[in-house]
Amino acid sequence: MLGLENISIEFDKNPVVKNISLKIEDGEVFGIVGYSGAGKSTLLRSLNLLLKPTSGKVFYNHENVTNLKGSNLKKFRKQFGMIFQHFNLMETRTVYNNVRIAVDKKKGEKEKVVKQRIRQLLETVGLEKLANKYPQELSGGQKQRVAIARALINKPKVLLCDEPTSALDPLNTNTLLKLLKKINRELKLTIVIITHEIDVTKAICDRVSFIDNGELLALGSPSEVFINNTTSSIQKFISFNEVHARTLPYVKNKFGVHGKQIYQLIIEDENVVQPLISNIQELFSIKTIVLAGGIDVYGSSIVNNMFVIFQGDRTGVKKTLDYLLKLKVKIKQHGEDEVQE
Amino acid sequence: MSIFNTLFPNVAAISDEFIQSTLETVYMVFVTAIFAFTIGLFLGIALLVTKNEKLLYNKVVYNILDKIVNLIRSIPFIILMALLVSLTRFIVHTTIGTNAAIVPIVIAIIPFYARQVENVLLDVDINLVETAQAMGWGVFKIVWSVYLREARKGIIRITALTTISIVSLSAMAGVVGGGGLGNLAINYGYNRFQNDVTFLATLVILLIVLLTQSISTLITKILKH
Repeated sequence: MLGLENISIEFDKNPVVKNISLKIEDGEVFGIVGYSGAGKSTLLRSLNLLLKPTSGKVFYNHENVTNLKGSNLKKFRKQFGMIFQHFNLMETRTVYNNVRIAVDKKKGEKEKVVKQRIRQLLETVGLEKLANKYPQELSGGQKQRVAIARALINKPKVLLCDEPTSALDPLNTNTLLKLLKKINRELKLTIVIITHEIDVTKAICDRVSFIDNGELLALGSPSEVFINNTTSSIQKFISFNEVHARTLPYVKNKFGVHGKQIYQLIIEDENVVQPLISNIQELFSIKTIVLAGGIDVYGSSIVNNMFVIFQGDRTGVKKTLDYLLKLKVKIKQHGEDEVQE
Repeated sequence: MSIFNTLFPNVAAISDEFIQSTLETVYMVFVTAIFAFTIGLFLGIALLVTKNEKLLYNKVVYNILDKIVNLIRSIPFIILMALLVSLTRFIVHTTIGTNAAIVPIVIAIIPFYARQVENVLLDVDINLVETAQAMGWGVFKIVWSVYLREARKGIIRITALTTISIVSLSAMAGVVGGGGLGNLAINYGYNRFQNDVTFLATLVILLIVLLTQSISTLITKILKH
């Protein structure tokens, strides 16, 4: 278990992380999300004490590690693997040797055993054929997989990922996320991942924290943080990231639906495959106009996020809302001012 | 031999002395290189690690080293030799001859080389330091396995460059009694108007420079990455 307690970090008296407390459980994939410059990287580096917090405590398995120094600090850091946005491979070493140099050889361990371990790991990340290539000869996705192999070679308990997909194209991003999920499951590895892409967290995170301006604004499952949370800065962040949140203002402007009550329906799991809109029409004679929306996978749950207008009499609308609430559909009312362009 | 005698009549007359001078130059360059590169490399690394907040940051030490390097580099070599006469006498018990010439050359080359080492090491991706620290590496391992390794091509390049500077300084040192080809070219070529001695001395010097560059290129080629 990793824990941060009232962590603040300052650079030259500028607060970058402000009084953040959180716990990361063993075996979970934990996302840290926010804009560039929000303090995500700084926060991540406090976990393995690459940065010492200005104030606050860092815990590792309930032990206060904040003030570790010297060889204890080095030993502590070996519990972590770390990968970076720009891979940070050594250009003068082959793929194999980039992993080999990271090996912490135990006393009496034979080079043959080490070799076997590296080969096996390179196979896990799908690079067994590229062992003798140099980083310059690899694609971004392959480089990041070398970095993962290097990070995992000493069997760490935690993998810290600093924007690991930001320099990759969508295809490589997808492959990499699948690989991370795989090693999370197979090696029971705790993963902490920084990203500014909501899609990345939706794909692999069990829990997410949203950081803005050094502050922790939300913590929970991806759907809790990105759909149910009404904090305006999160909503704004989503509006840059999510297609339906981007579309809504355009639709409203173009077709003049100003003044009408817009409802956001958050339909989850089995309800996604129910004919809800037809039911509403049959039961209450209410017609539904969908302005924007989409069905998405958030970690292990499936969510249909819809922005609609109900046409019909007042009592019909009221009954409709009651009906939906009973089915555990989450409903949010959007007035004129709430959904911003 | 007759063609050589016609082309270089004065050299032929002092052939033993010419060979002796060539060996002196090679000796001066070689010994200087050993001392200056070893000490200069350490000084360059010291400049690097005391400047970097993630390594052995120490503002006072860095500033002192930095100022010393700048100071020595600003003194013209011929004046530095004069300045260092007492030190030279203290170390080699004489102020003439090749050994006496080596002392000021080493002193002049150390900061020149150290500054270049520092610059070459600064070119190494700074993110690799963080990566290494995340792996639990200490300063020594970071310097050895990251900096010196990643910068090895650059270090070979500046070493060749500096060797050529040493050749040049050794010739200058010759003028004030240091021996070597510089001394020969001044004594015979300049003072006695025996231009063929100057010409052949130049050729030999060029040969040494060319050889240094070829070795550097060859090593770089073998290393590839």
